[in-house]
Amino acid sequence: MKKIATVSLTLAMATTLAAGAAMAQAWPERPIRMVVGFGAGGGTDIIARIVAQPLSDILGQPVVVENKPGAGGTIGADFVAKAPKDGHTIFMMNNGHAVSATLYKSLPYDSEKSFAPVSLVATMPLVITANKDLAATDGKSLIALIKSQPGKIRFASVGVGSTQHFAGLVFRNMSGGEIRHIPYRGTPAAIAAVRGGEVELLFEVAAPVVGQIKGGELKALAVTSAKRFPALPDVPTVAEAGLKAYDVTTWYGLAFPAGTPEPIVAKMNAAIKTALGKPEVRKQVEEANFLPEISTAPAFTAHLGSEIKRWGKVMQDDGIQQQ
Amino acid sequence: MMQSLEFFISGLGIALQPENLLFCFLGALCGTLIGVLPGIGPVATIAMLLPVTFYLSPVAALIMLAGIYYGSQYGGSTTSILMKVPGESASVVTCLDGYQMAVRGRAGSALAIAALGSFFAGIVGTMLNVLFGPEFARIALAFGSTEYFGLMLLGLSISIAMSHGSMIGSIAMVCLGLILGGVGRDINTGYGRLTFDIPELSDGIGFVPLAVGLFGIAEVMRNLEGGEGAGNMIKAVGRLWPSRAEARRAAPAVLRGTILGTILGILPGGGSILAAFTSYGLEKRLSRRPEEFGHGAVEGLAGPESANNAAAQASFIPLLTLGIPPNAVLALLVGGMMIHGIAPGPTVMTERPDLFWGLIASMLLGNIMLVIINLPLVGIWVQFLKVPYRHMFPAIFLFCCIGVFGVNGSVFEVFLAVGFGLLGYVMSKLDLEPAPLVLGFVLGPLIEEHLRRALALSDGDLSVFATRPLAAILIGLALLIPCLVLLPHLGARRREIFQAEP
Amino acid sequence: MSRPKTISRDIFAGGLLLLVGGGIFVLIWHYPSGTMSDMGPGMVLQMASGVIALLGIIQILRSLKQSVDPVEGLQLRLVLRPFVIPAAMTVFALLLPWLGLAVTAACATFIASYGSSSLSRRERIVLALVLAAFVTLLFGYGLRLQVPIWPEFHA
Repeated sequence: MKKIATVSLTLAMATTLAAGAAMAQAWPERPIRMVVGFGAGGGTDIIARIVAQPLSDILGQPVVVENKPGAGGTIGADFVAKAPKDGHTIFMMNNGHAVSATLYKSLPYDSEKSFAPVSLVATMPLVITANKDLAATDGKSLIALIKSQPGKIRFASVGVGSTQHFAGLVFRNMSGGEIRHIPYRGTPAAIAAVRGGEVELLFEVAAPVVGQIKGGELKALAVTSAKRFPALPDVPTVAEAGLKAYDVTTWYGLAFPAGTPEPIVAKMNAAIKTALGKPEVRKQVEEANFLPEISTAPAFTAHLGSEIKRWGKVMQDDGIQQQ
Repeated sequence: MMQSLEFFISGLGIALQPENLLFCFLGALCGTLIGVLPGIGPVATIAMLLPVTFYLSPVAALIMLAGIYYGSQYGGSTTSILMKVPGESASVVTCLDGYQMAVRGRAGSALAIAALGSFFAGIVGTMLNVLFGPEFARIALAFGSTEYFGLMLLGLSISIAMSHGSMIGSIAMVCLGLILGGVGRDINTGYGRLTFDIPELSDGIGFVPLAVGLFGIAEVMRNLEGGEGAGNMIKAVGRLWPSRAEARRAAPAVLRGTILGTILGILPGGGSILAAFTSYGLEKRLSRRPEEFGHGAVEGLAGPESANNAAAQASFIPLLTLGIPPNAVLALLVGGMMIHGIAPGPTVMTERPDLFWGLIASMLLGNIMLVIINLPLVGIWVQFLKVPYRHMFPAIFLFCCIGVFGVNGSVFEVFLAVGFGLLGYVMSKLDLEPAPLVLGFVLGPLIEEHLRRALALSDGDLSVFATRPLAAILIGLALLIPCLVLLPHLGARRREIFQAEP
Repeated sequence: MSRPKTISRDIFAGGLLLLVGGGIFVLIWHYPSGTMSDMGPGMVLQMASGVIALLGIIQILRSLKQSVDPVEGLQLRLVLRPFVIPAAMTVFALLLPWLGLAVTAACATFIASYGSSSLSRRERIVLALVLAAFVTLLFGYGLRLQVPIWPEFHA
């Protein structure tokens, strides 16, 4: 059986376009592996698991989440980039993929050309949170505080070259206030440090800090997206604090390896649209503090390209070393 | 405090519901099995089972996942005692005297003491958590990088003091461990250290290939030196259960280990390995027979094994009261909570008391189940020791291979284990101990991280280590202990030489 | 009783420490060390490797002073047999991706069995087959370890 499948697969790859359409007819013929470049339990893993379930129902084949963590998600990306282009391997991409495009000196794949983006799935803003005793209540007073004590206010993030770190850098550059970066190993350590008063600020994606904010242990000063975040409706945006163009939103989207037949991409895009259209799926996504978001394949491709350019520029401007 | 007890009793009601009881048992059983089997640890298992918990109630899901975690801590000691293959970092200490007990034909009593000690630690640790957990957790929050640096330094210092080889060798091994732990991307700068452009090394060296190589493989190699029959091979099994004298020696060690583990387990990072090593050092200092340590001392098994398990229970406290998971396994539980739409945070205790107290109470029941599962297994494990070593070592060998490969499905890590096996073998020839190396490996990166962060926060001012009182005390103790130990150490050395002269 | 090949094992240990510590120091001395308030990736590791090398020198000096005690001395009789184990493990790692779990486990166990001299060839074969069958069933089919079970001959 296996041999037959292998042979037919090789043939299909050889006869390209015409066969591509035929493949799309039969697709999916086997379970689809959805690769996550991070460990189980993290944000990317959770959104993958939430969408994998309805996608399985819609496509009639199980969609199995596989974690391939390591090297900032690039090991998982590389695995997908080199997987057969038959639509049975898909990558849960996130903003880190765009960051790693310039962060690493050399990658075994091309961050844009090795992938066929299908659709965005969700977005999530970051939240600027502070120790509850900090003398600032919103973005405006924060900027004033930073400017009154140049170099004294420090912000924690989950590491150099993380989206969180970059959000802080962009904030610093746009506000013109001097804040220092202190990296931590993982979100829990960073939250503990801010709660204990070791550092003043924390730039972190929303999901892990919403509970801390609602419990009154961390103070939310601003959300980093252009619009307010429904889970924290009272927290103003950074843009409202005067930095009009400030918008850092982390995103999650699905991509096949490049060369996957167009009809399969279209079929998957439609399936994602149907899945996220279901009220119970939307509810689950929102309860986990994600914002459901769908897009066309070309729109996602363009988004990926612009994010790669944007973070590359931030890295260059701030002289962050390539790894 | 009384109120806590009331809540706890209502939690017991939740944990005793048939569904929760069943999943508590499944978790404990599953944990025991993966603790014994190589290549599949609690992280991988919980990751695999996370999607399944979609279909359970959040309480049942968390009870099961928690059971897998503390159950694996129970099971992990089995391979350390029988084969000197530590499954996770804290059972490295179990390898020292637990394996030596087995070598001396007391495998049964070593396994039983480990199980009973863990049971006691689990029960008492859970109750201590009920009564004082939230207070403990708040204290942990007051620990900044400066204090952590002091604490880790103290832990290293105690471990150097406890080792039975030369102090020079131990310090060198801690430093070597620190360097090996530092391999990979530096978190402060992203600089690749000693990675030789090998992508697999960019995330650092894994714990399993290191430990399996240094302990398991090196031990098999040593046993094969004399062809057959020579070396440290495990002797035929003596009595199955601990003797009265052994029990009397173990009991106080279990008590001290439990208290130590409960306190240190609350701290993030190396809490449980720190607890196990510190307990070992403490027992050796307190023992009237320190010379027995490293040669099958009961206290040297009972103390650390209890400390390790108490720490596992205590690590739930920062997760549940502060919403901050102290290690990788518990970070997965956060994922489990988020899948169910529960945002981990300080409010879980007040908003979802059913979840909080149900989970705590289930840990009490889970520990009872574990001891019921594990004690009969002792008899079965001991049967394995009746197999002649020439038939046994190929099995241990294969076990190590698959164990190392299975963690990440990485062939590269098997090569690493080969390297560490050779290193461990050479080290044993030169009387250099692997245990301080492992401790340096686990704590080293944390020490470096906290040192650098403490200095970054103080703007390079070294005086923070003296002006912050708690940090100053910890660092002072860390410097004092080796000096204290050095004096009797010389005496002991002289005595050993004297004895070796007949 | 003349033991020409007996050398103090402490000197060997010291030499090894000096070699390892010094070697690592040379490898990493060009890493940026940074400043006190902003330590680079090199500082701590450079210090640690320096300490190892220094301890190695102290150890050598100390053991040179002591007379060599033949009982504590290291006998340079190299026993080759134990090295079968790391060799077999290397074979395991090399074959696994190509031959799958079942065949690799059998081959590697068979080689490893040469660690003991007191097994007959038949015993070695039986051991290899039984253990390979056991782990294939347990890890391959039972626990579904992410590994090919049987040889796969496609690109």
